[in-house]
Amino acid sequence: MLAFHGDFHEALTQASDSRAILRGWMDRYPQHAADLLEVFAQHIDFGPLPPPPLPAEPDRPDFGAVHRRFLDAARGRTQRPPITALRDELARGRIHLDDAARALRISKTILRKLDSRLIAAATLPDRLVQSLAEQLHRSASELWDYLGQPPTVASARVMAFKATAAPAVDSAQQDFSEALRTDPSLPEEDREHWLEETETAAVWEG
Amino acid sequence: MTWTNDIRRKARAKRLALGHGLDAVVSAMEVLASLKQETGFTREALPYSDPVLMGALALPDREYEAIFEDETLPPEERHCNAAHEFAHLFLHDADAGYELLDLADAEPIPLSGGKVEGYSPRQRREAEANVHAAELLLPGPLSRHLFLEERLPARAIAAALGLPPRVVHA
Repeated sequence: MLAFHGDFHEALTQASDSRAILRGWMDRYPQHAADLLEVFAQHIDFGPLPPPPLPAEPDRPDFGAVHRRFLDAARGRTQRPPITALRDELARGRIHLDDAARALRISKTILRKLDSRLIAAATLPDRLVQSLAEQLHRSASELWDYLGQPPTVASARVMAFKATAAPAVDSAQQDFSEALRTDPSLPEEDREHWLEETETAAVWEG
Repeated sequence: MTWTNDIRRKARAKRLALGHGLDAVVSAMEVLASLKQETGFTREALPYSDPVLMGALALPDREYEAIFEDETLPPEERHCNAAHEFAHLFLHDADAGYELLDLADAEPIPLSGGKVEGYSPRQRREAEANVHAAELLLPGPLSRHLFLEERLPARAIAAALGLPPRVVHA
């Protein structure tokens, strides 16, 4: 089984048409179809895999454990840490906040609200989240995970606070449509674009 | 030299660097436009109840390079608040260790800075920002010129510069 995985992995790595390799191996080893598909899926998702680890007892290897370690190694090598701040993600991609906001057809204020999760995730249009995820080179599900967390206060390091009362850090989140309507810096055509998008989504869901 | 003189000196240097003379009649709006241009910061108006403001009158965000402002305030107050927040950017290290929950002004902090000896570090920073803002928008030489030579009352000076009268009185 170990050699079987290693050979299949090597064949995938060297092949120009990995699908053809999969088909050939499936025809030859139909009894291992599930394993082949899983290794193939990992190869597609994560690129070339590392060689499988050697079993502790070569004479009587625990194939299931070896297989799990093999896949865990592949996942561990490529797994990215979760998003902790949109501004940090954009900075890593050398994307200026203004440029990101412009490309998304939102204002810097709304981007800041998304960053601090001050807009309820359930009210965000899929298309906006998808576009932002593409900018960040993240999956939409990673971004949804971030946006779905409770609101946060921007780092005190970056702010001073001029007020007549203590900051209301537990302020409620806004709906996306409310954020659009109350943002005077948002160009009118962008406001209408996203309001239309959110209304369409509401009709579909309703 | 007292700390207020040092802050005033910095504010005057900033005003000159922005291209505005110390005795030139320049509106607060023009001074703030120059500050925006110099820093790249934008001024973002929001309803008072907006969650970004968290109940603040004004709130700078260094990472987003923006000063968020309560749009329901009169323009003169907004100019003054924005100049105060810009002063924090110029005077105070981003890593000064602000404690957000301790940042609200529980007591009024004097614009002139004359009574703040012995205040907490946080109050001292707020007083410094007030003094810097006031001097930037209405430097001493301009104030003397308008009061003593032009013989304008405080209310007229405030109106001419787009400032709240309390800044002229300070």
